[in-house]
This record gives sequence, structure tokens and C-alpha cells, in this order.
Amino acid sequence: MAARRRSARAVGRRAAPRATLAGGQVLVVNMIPRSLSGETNQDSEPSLTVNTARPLEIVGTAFTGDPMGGPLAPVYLSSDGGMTWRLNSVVPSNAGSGLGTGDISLAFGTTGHRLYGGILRDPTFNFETLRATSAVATVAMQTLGSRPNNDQPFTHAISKSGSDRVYIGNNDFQAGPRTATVDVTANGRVANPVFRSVRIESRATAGQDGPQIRPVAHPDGTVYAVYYGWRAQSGSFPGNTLIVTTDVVVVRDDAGGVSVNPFRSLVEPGDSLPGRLVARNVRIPFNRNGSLDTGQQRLGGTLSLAVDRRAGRSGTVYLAWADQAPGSILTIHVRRSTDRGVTWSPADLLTVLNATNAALAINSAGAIGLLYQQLTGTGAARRWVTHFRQSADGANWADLVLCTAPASTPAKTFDPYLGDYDHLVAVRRDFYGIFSANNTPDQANFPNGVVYQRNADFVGHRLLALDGTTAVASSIDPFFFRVKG
Amino acid sequence: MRPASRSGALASQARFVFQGTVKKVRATTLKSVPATARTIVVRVDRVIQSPAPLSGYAGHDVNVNLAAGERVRPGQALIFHTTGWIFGDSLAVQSLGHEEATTPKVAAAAAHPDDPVRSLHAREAMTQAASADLIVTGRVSSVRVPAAEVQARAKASGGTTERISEHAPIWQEAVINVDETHKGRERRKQVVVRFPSSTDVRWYHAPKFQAGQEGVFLLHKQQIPATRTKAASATPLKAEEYTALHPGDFQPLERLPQIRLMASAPAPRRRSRAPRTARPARSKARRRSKGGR
Repeated sequence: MAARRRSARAVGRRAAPRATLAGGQVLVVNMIPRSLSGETNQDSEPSLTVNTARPLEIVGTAFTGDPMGGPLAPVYLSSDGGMTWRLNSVVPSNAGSGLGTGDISLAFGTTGHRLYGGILRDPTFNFETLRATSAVATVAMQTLGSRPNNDQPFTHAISKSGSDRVYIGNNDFQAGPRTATVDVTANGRVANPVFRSVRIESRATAGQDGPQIRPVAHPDGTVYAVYYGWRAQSGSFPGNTLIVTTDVVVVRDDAGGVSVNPFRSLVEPGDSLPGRLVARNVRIPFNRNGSLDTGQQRLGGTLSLAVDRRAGRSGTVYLAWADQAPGSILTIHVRRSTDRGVTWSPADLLTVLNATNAALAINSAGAIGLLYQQLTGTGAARRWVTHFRQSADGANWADLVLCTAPASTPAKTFDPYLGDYDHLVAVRRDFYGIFSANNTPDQANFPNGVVYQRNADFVGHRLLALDGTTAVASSIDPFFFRVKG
Repeated sequence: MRPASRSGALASQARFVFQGTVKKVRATTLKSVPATARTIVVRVDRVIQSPAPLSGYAGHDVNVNLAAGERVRPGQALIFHTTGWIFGDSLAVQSLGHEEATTPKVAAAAAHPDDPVRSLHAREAMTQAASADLIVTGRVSSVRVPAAEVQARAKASGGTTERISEHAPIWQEAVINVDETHKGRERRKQVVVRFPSSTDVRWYHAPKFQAGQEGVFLLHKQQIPATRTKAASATPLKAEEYTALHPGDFQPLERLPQIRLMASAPAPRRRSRAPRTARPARSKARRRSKGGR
């Protein structure tokens, strides 16, 4: 058996490239650890956070249940800058759960090593706010609050003067019909932090807003958030024909989001209401489920916002949103404001057809990074191609293909196939990201290289079980990447 | 139903049960797990009960974090009842308890001695049976949108009375023609069970019933929160309806004998035909039931 184990490890070593930044620029790592070489879960909808104070420490999340169905769901934890990963079960969950957790998004404070997050907890799907004093702790994260009827928590944290301001965008159905909400606490470090639910929608809606509410903060106290303000609907959600007419709304607060009436600093001239309408009356599909035509991925729009975090640059903010135009399942638009969201570039800085899961970040040199997943080809030849684009000025964009894999296999086991989002962050000059994709070990699928921890045969394009010989079906795995800035 | 033994009590909590030989104490093979008085390295000799991804661990070393009060010695052959802890280059598990690996105990620990995954599924089915309010065998005669919902959905924006969320259940009803009732007080020809038709990550595990489907239905009375619906347009759901939300809530007929044993079912009132595989156990259950209640 010892010989077999050696053989199994040798397969992985021989087939996979070295765990280095390919060409000195990019590192792509399949995050499933070797001890789970036999897993076939659909590990979709990933997110990532990097401990700014200790960048070798990185936490990833996905729809990954505890492999043994324990009472805690796992996070992916790396202590070596993303080279290797392990699963650490610390997220409150439900014993016996095959799911682990619903939507999950974690964020480190920018100093102090504390980890914050929002989840939809299994099995109630209550929105719960979480905190851990350390990412490497092996005890359950502390639950700070819980409430029902919510969707898609999205966490952002920033440290200032010894406190951690935590912002969790969420779609709070209890606030209907103006559901777009940011939960804010002025200091997540205190014993019992109080989160205030700030309603950021000021206009009439079509019963609710969209689920994507994305906050982002600058150290000088400027906080932005973007959301889809739903204005009208046609079609049927159960019938998978729903089309939503929506505005893309950016709100801003100049006092950290903790004043009496926060997120009202940016006013739309047309109606004098808070929230700049960067795009009006655009149409997006809001799918119940994905189909072959959409590469098995359900579509419901995508939003991302990034602020230039350098001193004196809080007025520079980039926005990516998607709408549906003829001939494209979803079209990503990237625009920029240099005056705190008051005006925006009149035309797209970048337009990407047939794409979703946009994620933006700006590094310490002011370079902008954009992650997205694009559906290419037709019929059985459709592929999901994951791109990382980078630009110093918003005009010229380099393109790095991180992954290109068939969109029709493996067959989805649930929606979302790849996730309703992926994630990109910047720490100093480097970009760190996470996406989910078909895990077939084929070098052609990873043109800039990839490292697998799980047993894989890159010659035969087969995943292998722990014994190094038994074939394992392909599935959706989370992939970490790092691009040197 | 309470487990009859310490072994049963441990097995009811543990997901990963294996027979192993203690190789080292105060040791670990994972960099992220410091060696302590409670960490030991165990060679897995045989996997008894396991989720699929971990069923191939025989012959491999695992790190075990002993529970408070557990003591072991190198060379001991033991059955470990564990849950997951850390999954890295190698595996670390949290022990819930151990017992001596005698032949009878090893044999008793596995419902399917050659298939640890099946053993786990069988145990989960038993757990669902124990908590079910109603267990019937029968056939799905039809699947429909709840009647009260049809009209409301037609009027509601987005074609649904539920909040428009990726995680909306999109309820449907399955009408089951009942052959036999094995647990519960309901004695009806038909039972209606509500199930989520959504394939969202929250609901995909739940059984998706189709007309003609035949088997064992483990049904739970469960309040479906009305707050998940739009306040203005929702048709209020009944406070309690039978639901099937767990993947173990529908089982093949051949599992009926074990399910009935776990469910401690009263003597079934037979309506029409019954599966052949169920007959011996049904008689046994009836005898036990008559003697015990």
C-alpha cells in the first residue's frame, strides 16, 4: 500500500506544473486538497479574502459542504499565499447537511487578522453575521446576528484607527419593496458589535430590488455601494422567462456609512433622490435555472464596484454591470467615475459580450483588474472561458485566459452551475481571485498553467481517487489565482 | 428511537466510522495540526461507514483528535466513530468515541459490510424514518402546482407569489395513492405532499416527485413560513402540510423492512397491494408492535 500511495502522489506531481507563478505573472491552483481526491461536489459560487496584514493567509469559500456532513461548513484556508489549501470547518451549519452553507462571503479587516462574514445558514437560510478572531482557528465562527428572509450577503471590511468597519450588502425582503440593504457596523472588534441595516433604495421598485448589493470602502471614510433597482418585470420566474427592467444605482456615503442618514451623499439630478442612476431601464434575465443555451449557468445580472484605495483617490471608482442585449446572453459594461460617482464615462471602457460574474479590484498602483466568465461557441462546443483583464488606465486592457473548459460537462447538479458570483481582490500590487470551473485535468484548459493538489492525471485527462488509480468523475471545483501586479 | 447500544449511539452521530490500528500517540501528519496529548495517527484498516469521497481510506493514515477522556495505546485495533475536522494533504478527524474492534462489533457496525457509503445512506434513511410523522408506501398519481397558488400566481408579478429569489422553493404538490400506512395516524387513500421543485442549491437535494413514482414516502409535518411569500399577493400556505425536503424522505421499496423497524410502526392497515420485499418484515413489525404497545 505504501508503494501505491507513492505512486498516487507521483501521478499528481508528474502531471501538474510547478507551483509557481507562470512566467512570473500568474499562479492558478485547484483548491481541492489531496485528501479529498475522490470528491465530485459542485463547488460553485466562490469568494475570497486575503489577510492584508499577513498576505500569505487567504480564505476562500464556495458551496462546499463538510465532507463528513458535520455541524460546521468548511472554508478553504491557505497559509502559504495560495500554493496549498486545506478545508477548515468553522462556519455554522446543520449537522448532516449535504449543503454546508447557503450563500457565503467573508472578509478580513485590513489590520488585526479578524475575519467577518455573512451567510445564509443551512437549513433556515437565515442571514447570519459571523466573526472569527483568527482564520486559522478550528472552532466555530461566532454568530453575531441572525434574521430571516434575505439573500446574497456580500461582505467588505476595512480597518481604521483600531476598529473594523464591516459592510454587508444584502437583499432584505423584510424591507420590501425597497429591499436593497447594507448592514454596517462601526467596529466589528468590540464584544457585541451592533449592525445597523441601512436601506439604500430611495425609489419605487417592482416589489423588490435585485440580490446583488456590493459595498466597497476607502480608508478616508468614503463608502460606495451599487445595486440593481428593479423597476418592472415581465414573464414568469417559475416559468424561467422573467425579464427585469432595472436601474443600475450607485450610492455613496462620505462618513463611513455610520452617520444618521448614511448613503445619501450622491444625488441623482433628475429626481433629486439619493443614488446615481448610472444606467437606466436596462433589461436583465432573472433565471430560475440555467439551460444549455446559457452554458448551464443561471443568469440574473452581475455587479461589481472597486475604489482606488490610494490616499486622495477615493473619488476614482470603477463599475461593472451587465444587461441583456440582442445576440448576447448577458453583456458586461465597465465604466469609471473620477468625481466620486457624480459623472461617469459616457461610453464603456470595456464591453464584454456573453459574459457574467464580473469582479473588479484596483491595486496599490492604481491598476484595474477585471475577472469574468464568458460563454463562447455554440451547441456542444460551448465553453466557459474565465478571463482576467488588467489595465493601467482603463483604456488598454491586457487579457489573461485562466481557464477554458466545456460548458456542457459536467452536468449541473444544482443551480448555480458556476455561481451567482466569483471574486477578485487586490492586496498591494497583486491581484488575488477565485472562480469555479470544470476540473478536468487538461493542460489545454489552463493556458497559463495550473497546479492541482488532488490526484490528477494530466496525460490521460483523468481525476484520480486517493488510491491514485481509480478514476473520479469531473466536477466543478474552485480555482484560486494570483496575478503579480 | 434511541440507539440500543453505545455503538449505536456513537454511530448515530458519526459520519465516518472505521476500524484502525493506532500507530502513534501525541503525533500528527498535518503541518496545520500541532501534536498534543489528544492527537494520534491511526492506520485505517477498514472503512465501515463513510461519505463517498472518503470511502477509499483503507490503508491510509489519518489524524484523529481524541475526545476528552479517550485514551489509546499504539498497536490497539479499535473502531473509531468520527466526524470531519481538517481536510488537507492528509485527513484529520474528530473522534466521538472508540470501542474495541472485536469481530462481532465490527460486523454490527455496518449495515452493508462491503459498502461503507451504502451503510451511511441506510443509517440516514433510518434517521429520517425515526423523525417522520407519516410513512406510507404508494405511488405518485399526479404532480401539480398547489391549487390555491395557481390563480394567485397568474395575478402576481413575476408569475409567482413567492419572493423572487434564487432560493425560492417554487412549491409543487405530489398526490400519493397510498398502499399502506406504516407510521402515523393518517389513514387516507391519498396523501398530498408538498415539495420544492427548485433546483437551486438550497433545494436540489429534496426529492423531485414525478407521476408514476413508487416507493416509501417519509413525510414530515412542517410549517412552511409564510414570510417567504410576498406580503401583498401571497396565498397563505397552510400552517402544517406534509413535506419531503430531505433526500432520504423517499426510499426504494426494498428498504421498507429496515425503515419500519426504525420507525417502530404500529401494525399497518393494508389497503391494497404491498411490495413483496416488505412482507416478511411487515409481519415481524406487526408482531413486535402488538407485543410492545
